[in-house]
Amino acid sequence: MRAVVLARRVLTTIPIMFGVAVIVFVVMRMLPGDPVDIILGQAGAASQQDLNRLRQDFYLDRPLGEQLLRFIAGAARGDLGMSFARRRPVFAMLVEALPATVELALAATLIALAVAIPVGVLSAVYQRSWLDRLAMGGAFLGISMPAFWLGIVAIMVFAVQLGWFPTSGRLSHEVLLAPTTGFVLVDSVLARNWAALADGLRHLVLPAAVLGAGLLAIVARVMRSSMLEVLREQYVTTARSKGLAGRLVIWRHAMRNALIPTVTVVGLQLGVLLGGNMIVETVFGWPGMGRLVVEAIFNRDYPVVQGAVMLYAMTFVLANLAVDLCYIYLDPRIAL
Amino acid sequence: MHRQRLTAAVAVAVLALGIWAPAGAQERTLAFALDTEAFRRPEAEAVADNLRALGIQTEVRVWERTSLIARIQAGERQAYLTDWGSAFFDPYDLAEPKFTTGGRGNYSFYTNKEVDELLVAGSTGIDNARRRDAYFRVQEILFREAPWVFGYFRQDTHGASALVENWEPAMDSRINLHDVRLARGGVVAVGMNTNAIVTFDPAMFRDRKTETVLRNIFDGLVTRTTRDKVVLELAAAMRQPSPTVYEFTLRPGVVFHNGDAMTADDVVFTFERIIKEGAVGGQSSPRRALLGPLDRVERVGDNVIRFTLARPFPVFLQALVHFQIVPRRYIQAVGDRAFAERPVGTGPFKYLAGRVDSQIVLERFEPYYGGAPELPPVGPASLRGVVFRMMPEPATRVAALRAGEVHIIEDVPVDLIGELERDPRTAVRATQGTRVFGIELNNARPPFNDVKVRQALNYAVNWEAILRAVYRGYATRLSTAFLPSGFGYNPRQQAYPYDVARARALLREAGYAVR
Repeated sequence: MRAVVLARRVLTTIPIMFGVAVIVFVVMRMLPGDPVDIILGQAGAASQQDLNRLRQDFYLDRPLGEQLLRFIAGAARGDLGMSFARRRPVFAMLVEALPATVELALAATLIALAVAIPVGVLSAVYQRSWLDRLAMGGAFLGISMPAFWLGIVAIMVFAVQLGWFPTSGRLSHEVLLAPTTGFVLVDSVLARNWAALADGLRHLVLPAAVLGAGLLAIVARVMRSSMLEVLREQYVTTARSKGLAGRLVIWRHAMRNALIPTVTVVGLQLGVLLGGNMIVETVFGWPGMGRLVVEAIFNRDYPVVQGAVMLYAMTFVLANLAVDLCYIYLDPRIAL
Repeated sequence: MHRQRLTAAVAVAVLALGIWAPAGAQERTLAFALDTEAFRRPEAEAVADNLRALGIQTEVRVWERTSLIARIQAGERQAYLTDWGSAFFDPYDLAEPKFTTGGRGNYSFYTNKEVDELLVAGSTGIDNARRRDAYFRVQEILFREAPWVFGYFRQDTHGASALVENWEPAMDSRINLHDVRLARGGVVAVGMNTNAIVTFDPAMFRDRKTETVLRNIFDGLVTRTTRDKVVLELAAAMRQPSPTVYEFTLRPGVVFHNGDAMTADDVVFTFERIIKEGAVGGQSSPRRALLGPLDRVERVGDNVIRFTLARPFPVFLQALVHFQIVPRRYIQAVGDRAFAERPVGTGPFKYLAGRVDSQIVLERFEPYYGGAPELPPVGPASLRGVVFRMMPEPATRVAALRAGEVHIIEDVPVDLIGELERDPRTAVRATQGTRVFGIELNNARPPFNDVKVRQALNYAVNWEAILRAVYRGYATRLSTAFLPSGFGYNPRQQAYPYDVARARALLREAGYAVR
């Protein structure tokens, strides 16, 4: 039964993706700006012949309907077209940029959760203590600080002054690692290249911490408030009166239920993080989706933007599905 | 029917009030929007302050570059801060696109038949004295007709570690690493000011960042000093039997990174890929127009290539600097797309690893023929390797230079120059830029279809003060839109002085109220 429901959920993504494809196609073409003029740049000589030749290459001389059909037909076969600026298949560009973004997003989420969940729980248990005030004050700061500023400060302190971490990039150039999956950490484990693994981790810490700061703050606050609610529930009182150890009641009985709102928040935020964060990626020279897409929008590189947005839509759909599956695990009363 | 008439009458009344009401009598207030991109906003605000002091209502608006240019091209904007780059040290790729009637970069919609003819005479003439005269005359006319509020050019400011020896930034903004030495270590890392270079294929890009990387992998028939002089590189000799024919004799014994010997066929193939339609894996090169009237390229001897032009093109050698020789056999064997992923050239460094959007690792090519004899040292590169890292954020580039992770960084913004100058391990290196910055005016529409208004604006802006305040002296005023580094620049042509009295008088003559 569950399999059928699951299959139905997956099938509904098809019309969603189609709608997204059409909308992004239309919206991109409504933006002012000529992709061919951008390639030729604000410099040098160019002839009308040049402009025409490039328009032909990109099918921009064809009617809009034909361009849309070409795009949809290609996308259905998994062919997202060629980038105007880089003249490479969009699919290959996304496959290259996505692992960098996913690696960073997962590391950021991991750091955020590893800190935020214990902090949130302890803040609730020791409500109004100095620990609670400090943690919630810190969380407030974490939400308010812009990633750009936080990133530059982190680089100045930890990379330039202390020299603990590199300023930017994913790997040092001395470390040669042939990309297999595109995930530096996975590739270095597969190649048993422990130097690359250590180097990759060193490069990951600062951007992941900066990217995770916002999520950390949100999760800590959500965790605290839902924990406070759960601790007032009758079953917690029952567990306590049965004589269970306080620690067991808190970390086993209470926390599991308090996690449900947290999972919702993390699911939504993970979807956002997987889209790539242009600001963090720019500050840390991280070659991910955020930079790729923003550059493509500025260049009016329609095929790249179209492909990336479809990928985003897919990610959101799947992230939501994953969240729903998490609910079932956490609370068996919930069905799909 | 009545209702329509009533609406029309109201509309007319509103329009009339809008135009006449604030002025009262004969005099109108000059009011317009000054459009800019975010990075020039402080400059735009300073200009607007100058104009407001004269009673001109100036509203600064900030746009994304591409959207702004699209609106400008549609003729919907009045005055806009723009810039245009030139790579040939010649008005051919600067004044010509900017001022020819209907030119691709003619955002001011300026039109003057005499200027059109003079620009053609300048870029096709064979007598340099005459060409120069033509360009001098264009500068005179431009000054008088003031299609823009003429602006300035900047110093390109780069950062370098104290370990870097024998490097100075080039005016054409390429970073040539063949001649560079490092006091400690053998690998230079360069922090590039870009998200990504475009490609590894020398036929498929138009931007300078891509060229900076490719020029270290590929060599051309000719190259350029760090200033504007063209010198032979892969060519051992050049002769010009007629104004439209150039013949190059290739240097013997040059090999590509894959071991193939470079021949005349490779040179012919390189240029045919660019001038023929659909010659790069079915697609066309965006570089065609940079070769001007080049008509055909052929092998006329074992080692000799002849270029035939449709008409004289005096900047041909300057143009050739920007074309790199690619290996015919390799490309035909692996295909254009694979070549763009794994480039093979004849340059001082060969591709080892990396991606266009993260970092590109090159290693010294040991059998290198040595490079241009006129640009010592000649021989294989002194560096063991080179790394180009894409670092779009300027603060990160400066941090990486100070942390010793990179040795050269592109484009240090003026507000970060002090940080590098204070640090004894780093220095700022500057060179004359080749972009013209100015304020273009829409000459096709009121109020800037009136030459008096345009001239008034040129007198009304205190550029010296603005450049000092906003760019801290790293910018130099221009008399028109010709660069001092380019051919045909008239050093005697004075810029408009800051003269508020003359600005007021001109505005009054044009019928505007002034303060």
